[in-house]
Order: sequence, then C-alpha cells, then structure tokens
Amino acid sequence: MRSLRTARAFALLVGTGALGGIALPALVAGQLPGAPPAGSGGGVAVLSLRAAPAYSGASVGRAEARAVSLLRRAAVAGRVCAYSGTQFVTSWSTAGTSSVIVSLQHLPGRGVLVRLSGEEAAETVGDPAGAAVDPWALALLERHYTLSVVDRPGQSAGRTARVVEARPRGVAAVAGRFWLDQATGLVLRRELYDRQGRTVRAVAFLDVEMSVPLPWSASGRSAASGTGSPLTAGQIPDLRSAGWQVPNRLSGGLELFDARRRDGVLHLSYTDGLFAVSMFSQRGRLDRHSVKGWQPVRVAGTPAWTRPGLSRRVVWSGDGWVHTAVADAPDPVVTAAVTSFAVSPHESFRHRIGRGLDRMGSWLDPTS
Amino acid sequence: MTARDGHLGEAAAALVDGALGAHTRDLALAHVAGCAECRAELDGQRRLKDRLQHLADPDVPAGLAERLLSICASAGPTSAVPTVQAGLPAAGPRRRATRSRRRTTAPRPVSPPVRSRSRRARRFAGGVSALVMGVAVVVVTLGPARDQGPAVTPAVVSYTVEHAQTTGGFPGADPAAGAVMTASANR
Repeated sequence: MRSLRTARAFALLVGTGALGGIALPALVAGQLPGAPPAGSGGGVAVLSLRAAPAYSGASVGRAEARAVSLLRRAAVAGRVCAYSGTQFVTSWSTAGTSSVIVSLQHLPGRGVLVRLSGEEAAETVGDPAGAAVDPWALALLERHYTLSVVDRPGQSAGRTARVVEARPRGVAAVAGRFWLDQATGLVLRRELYDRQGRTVRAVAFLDVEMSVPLPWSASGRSAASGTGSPLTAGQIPDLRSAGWQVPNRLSGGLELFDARRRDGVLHLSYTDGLFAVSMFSQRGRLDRHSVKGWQPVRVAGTPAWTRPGLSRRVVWSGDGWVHTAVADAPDPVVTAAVTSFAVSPHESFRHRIGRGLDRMGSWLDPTS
Repeated sequence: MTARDGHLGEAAAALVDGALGAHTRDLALAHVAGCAECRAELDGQRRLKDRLQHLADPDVPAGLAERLLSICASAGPTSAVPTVQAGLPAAGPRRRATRSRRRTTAPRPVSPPVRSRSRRARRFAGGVSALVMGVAVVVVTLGPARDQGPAVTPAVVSYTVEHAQTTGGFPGADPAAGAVMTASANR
C-alpha cells in the first residue's frame, strides 16, 4: 500500500511538471491544448497554399451564397472595369490616424495610374494576372465569417450600391462592410472594424466615373517592384528544414495562403479572408539605425519597433533572423499574430527545450 | 457638417461616434486626409471615447469572490445555491461532499492526522517545486532570443507594397490597394 502511495505521489510530481512544461508554451503561443501544432508540416500546408477545394456555395444558405456571389463579381469588376476617380484611404490604430487622397485611373490590361493628392508624380501598377477571384480566399472568408446582404441598397460616391456585411462566426458585431456598385459590381467603399465596432480602415471613392479619359496617361513611373516567385507547398518543408520559420497559421485564425522568396527574403502572407498580415523574414540582425524614429514595443519579450501608417509595420530580430510584419488589421489582431510568429511556433518542443538548456549552459560558461 | 473655419470642429466627435451620414462622413474623412489639425482632433476624440468606454466597466470589489463563497459555505451542502459560478472556483462544500461520499463507498485505513497532514504538505511542496521547475524551463526557453549575424536594414517600403499587391485580389478588397500603397508607402 505504501509503495502504491509513493508511486501515485511520484506520478503527481511528474504530471505537474509536465503540465507546467507543456501547457504553458502552448498557452503562450496562443494555441489551445490539443490543437495541432501551428507549424507542423503535412496536409495543412497543402491546404494553406491555395490547393483547397474550390468554393461551391453548396454548404451555405441562399442569403450567404448571394453575398459571396456579389463579392466574386466585385473582385472581377476591379480588374475588368475601366474607371477613374478620387479615393481616400484612412487607417486608424492606437498610434494615430493615417490618411491619403489619391486620384486613380484604371484601364483593364494596362493597370492603375495613381497620383497622390497635391503631387505631380504618378505611379503605374500593372493588373494582377487573371481576372478570376481566388476560390480559396472566398472559401476562407466564408469559413471565418457569416456573410449577408443588407436589404436596402446603399449609396456611395453618388451611385447605388449593394451592401455586403461580414460578421465573425458566432459574433453579432460587423467586422467588414462593402459597398458594391449595383451597375458594375466595383467596390465603391470598404470599411473594416475592430471588435468594439470602431472603424480601423476605410477606403472609399469620393467620386468615380466608369470610364477613363483618353488617351490613358501612361506617363507615370512604373512601380512594379515584383513580388518574387510563389513557392509551392512542396517547397515549404525544405524551407523549414533550412531553419526558416513557416507556421501554417497564426493566432486570430490567420492562415498561410501565399509564400514567396526573393533576394534572400521570405514573404509569407496570412489572412482569415478579411484581414491580412504579411511576414517578411531574412537572416541577420536588425540594424537599429534603420528603425530610428519608430515606436519601441516588445513582442513576446523581445524588443521590437512599430510604425503606424496606412498599414501597420512591426520589426524585430532574434536568433539570427530579422522579421518584418506588415498588416491591415486591428491592433489586437496584429499583436496576436506577431506574438504567435515571434515565439517560433514551428519549432518543436524538443528544440525549444534544447535551446533553453543551451542558454542555461551559457550562463555557467559565459565563453560559450 | 457643423464645421467652422473649414475644420471639422464638433463634427469630429460625431465622426468618431459614427453619427454622420455616409456622404458627410466621406467629406469629413477626405478633409482629414489633408488636415493635420483635424487628424489630431480626431485622434483625441477616439482616445477620449476609448477612455470613457473603459470607465464604463465597473471594477469588481476586492474580496467579492470570497464573500460569495462564504455565503455558499454557510448555506451548507444541501443548499439550492449553485456551488460553481461563472469565473469562480468550485465552492468548498461540494468538494467536501464528494469526498465524504467516496469515503463511504471505499473507506481508507485510519492513520494519525499529523502524519497525513505532513504527507500532504510534502506532496504540495513537491508539486509546487515541479511546477516552478517547469515554468523556469519555459521562461528560459521562450525568453528573448539573442541577436547575431550581419546587420540588416529591412526594405520596409518595398515590403509594404508587396503586401498590398499580394492581398489586393481578395474578395471585397480594394482593387487599387497595390497602386495606392505604392504611391503612399512612406506614409
């Protein structure tokens, strides 16, 4: 009997220690116990890189299918419609408000000519290849959000619009609202909100014409910087083996949908269908002069620097890597995503413990 | 807009509250894009609203949980008062009742209470030690990473443009997001 009690006490001690060691990192990384590891290889990577079954509309109600249909039309309209107008883009964060006014001219097949208000210089950006909306992105939006069409048509830029709303599944508050031109389908106005209902980003035409004054002014400086070659799902495991950090998903329901590599920089794009966060990784350590004037913050205990703007930027470095996050999302979403990326979610628990023990060893032998 | 001197004025508060109509709101936001004074006013209004919202949440008085638990304890195990409240730990009487039921079905050999307390104390101390060790390993493992390698200046402007270009094709996304970000990446 005594040996049984001793064995039970021993099991209790081991269990408690294991709980502290296993549950806490999972909680710190923002994962629920029992959830699949964020960075594990296998089938999820294939799904994440746009190989998911195409959206069919069969699994949703008629009202939701109608909203998806309108969004699909909008994505196509943005590429095939000729339009010109004035647009404002405003972004709010805890750090302040950023806003610009631009004049736009879009000619299908040629791209967009954009000029900032009050500036002479213009830039041209080519249209993305293809005119079809990404079925994976639609499926992801539908998975994370309940979509609906407002009964009464709205008005934006003097035009009649159908208004589509996106609510996170199980949440009553609207996270995104789109005003889609009734005649052409073009997005006239787009607003994103945080959980408190505050607008975090608004993009809207002040005036728009469904034509372009000819001849189309192509005098703008081409700003096509290129985005690198997209990587396939099969290349992801090799990247991980080489030490690159490629989690399949980040906290907040953001999933990996695109990976590119150019000039030693890996660009990973994450989205939940509405909000998007990009992670750029490169080897080295951060040159502190490059973040002069940025606001210092901490990410998972590591010093980081952030800069508000139309997109929020966060830069940090550690363990021989420099990471840059660029996001169009509310502050809490950005913070959760960056934190979950910063704690190396793809790193196995064994590797983490090994790294910790190495560090403890370096305390005993500072020369190591 | 109730703007005076060409600025938002009181309309800034209405803008933050979402009380403006769509057209007026667009005009206000367009004005804000080019007016630093109104942008600052807008930021101030949003901060003020944030503070007011936080003030609206009443603080739970210290010791409320203990007082509620003591009420449950005094009501006894047969009370109809639920013993598990949202956000509160399970109350004592129910746990005691469970233990007493266990004792009736499977009685343990009686041992001196002093030895029993001592054994429990040892187990508790051992458990706490193991937990502290586990937490220490986690803290060390997940602590700040060391910097190494060549100094790098991230091409943040270029990254911002690439971000807009790769995400601009989403359903409902701004079709010209890439172009706008290209022109204004330094903003």
